[in-house]
Amino acid sequence: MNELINYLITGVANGFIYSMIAIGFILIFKCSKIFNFAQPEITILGAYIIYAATVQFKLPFMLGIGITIGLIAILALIIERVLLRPMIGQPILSIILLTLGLGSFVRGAIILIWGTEWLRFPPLFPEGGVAIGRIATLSYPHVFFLSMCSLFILSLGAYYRFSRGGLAMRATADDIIVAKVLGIKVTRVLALTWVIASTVGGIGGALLTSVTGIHYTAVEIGFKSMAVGLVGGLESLAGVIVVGPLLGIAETLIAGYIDPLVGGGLSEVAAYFVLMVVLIFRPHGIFGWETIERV
Amino acid sequence: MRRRHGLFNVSYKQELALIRTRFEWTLLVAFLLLMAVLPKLISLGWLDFFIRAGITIVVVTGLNLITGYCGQISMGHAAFMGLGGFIGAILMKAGTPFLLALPLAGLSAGISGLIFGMPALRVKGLYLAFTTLAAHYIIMFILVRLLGGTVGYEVAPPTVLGFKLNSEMRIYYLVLIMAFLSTCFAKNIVRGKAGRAFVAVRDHDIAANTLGINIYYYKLLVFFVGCVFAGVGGFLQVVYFGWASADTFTLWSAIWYIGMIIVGGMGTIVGVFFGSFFILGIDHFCSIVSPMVANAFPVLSGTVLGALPLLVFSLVLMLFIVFEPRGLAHRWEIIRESFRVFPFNY
Repeated sequence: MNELINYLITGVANGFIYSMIAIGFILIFKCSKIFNFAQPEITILGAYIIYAATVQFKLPFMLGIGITIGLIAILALIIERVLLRPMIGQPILSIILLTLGLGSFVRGAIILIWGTEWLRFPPLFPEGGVAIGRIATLSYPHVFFLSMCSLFILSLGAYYRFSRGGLAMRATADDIIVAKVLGIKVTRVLALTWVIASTVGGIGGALLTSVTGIHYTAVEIGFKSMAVGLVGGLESLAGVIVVGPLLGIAETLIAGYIDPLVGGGLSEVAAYFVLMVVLIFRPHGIFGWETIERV
Repeated sequence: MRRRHGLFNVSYKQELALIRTRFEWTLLVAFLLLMAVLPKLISLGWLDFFIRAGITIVVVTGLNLITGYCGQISMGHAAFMGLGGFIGAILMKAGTPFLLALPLAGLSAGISGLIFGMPALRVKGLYLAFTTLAAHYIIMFILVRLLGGTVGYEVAPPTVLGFKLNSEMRIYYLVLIMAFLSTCFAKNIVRGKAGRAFVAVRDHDIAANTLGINIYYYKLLVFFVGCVFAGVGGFLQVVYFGWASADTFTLWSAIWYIGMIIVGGMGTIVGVFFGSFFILGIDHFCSIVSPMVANAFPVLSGTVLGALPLLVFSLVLMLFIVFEPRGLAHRWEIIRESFRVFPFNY
């Protein structure tokens, strides 16, 4: 029983990080219809920058997060301005391939700078955790994950829902031409979505890898988050917030109960099995909009 | 395909001919002769390059059918290769003759392509790209966990029609023949009924559907055929390496294959050759250059070997998408045309 509750907590904590990363590229997709296959690489780039700041330059962790946000934001602005803005309206195939190329470029840079070894953070959090009643303890990393993610998701949601900039974002997502006609500076909105997407992705990657250690194959975090986005539906932010924790729970449960039976590894691909099944039966994700195409 | 002026097809047989004029025949025979004597002329390192290029051509031809002609993105091509290679290796271990194992390897990859191409019936574009990525991870899981992946199988040099394929030169001829056959096969597919249907599906699948093309049938067909190519290529690679291991079939190599059809020119047969040689050439070039870079900048010596090919490849890929989306094949057409009309090229 205790074990089960621990699995559930870990699953929810990891899942919220998936949701957070997924929210990023869903924002980009909603506003510019660009599906960013470079998101996984940008995600682990965030982790590497935090590693460089905290371990190599010995800065405090929170300052490291600040630096990461700054650097990733600048990088996102450059990418958006130089590479992706000329591509709006181009065939979807070229955009996918361009972001794939961008992703491998970032990966190449990561390998060039940090090499291919596993990098490990020193333990950031003390042992033990917060006891919830008598049944379970919430370990400190998970407390930190959950609070960080809820902070990011809530503030992002509030911004999207209530502020003027969020309104502009929603208008752009609805119809980019109408938004232009109404006097919204669409280019600025798109740049902002890229900044938000990349920074939340980078922070999410840094959080997850602070426990597991970083390796350039950790891009799988990003791919799993993209799977969360697709399962939830690319049009729905709420869907992603629901699906992420569910997937996280499914992963930890499979890792805990089924992996020992089959020799391990199933939890790594569980997200993709779910994705295949969901997309076959609901091609637009669980909460996505069904679009009707005409000739 | 432009021809010399005044050259007309006067019989149905001429219409059907893949190679029409005597000049084209001469070129083809000369090319094949050159390829046949090539192992005598070059060093062992370059022979390795050409073998890998031949295997890549087989694989990328299949991917070109899926992505270039039919517009369906497959990011799982390395995994399909791996499946074909593994099935072939297991069959060889069980004592199946090579000439039977080769088509069976292709067939198994093709069937897996049918299964994982099924989402293509309902989704397309980026959703499809992502489901094939999911397919990569799922197939790799199957290879590693169920077929004994990371340790792998040793594959003894097979015997084909009395020849034991135990030297690189003999494998070179096998790969040469397979690359030639797959190119002919692909050329015949794309100019037939199926190829026309593929192009129609790529250009607009709903419009194609209203024209009476069964898009579901053709999407599955293209996944099947493309993955057969991948399986055959994967098996050839396993035979060449003498070892079947899941580590050699990575997602990144699938992305390199996609890059090859972009650089070569999507939806052209000749583009496959350009792309494969160009990208593999980059890889080879980087492996020559990176020791020099490591000498010049000792800080980078540990990492430059892995990073440099990736950096150069992705830069080339992005530049091609932005500036020359039709690839080297398009350049080739322009050059040929300007030679054809030489003094009067206005």
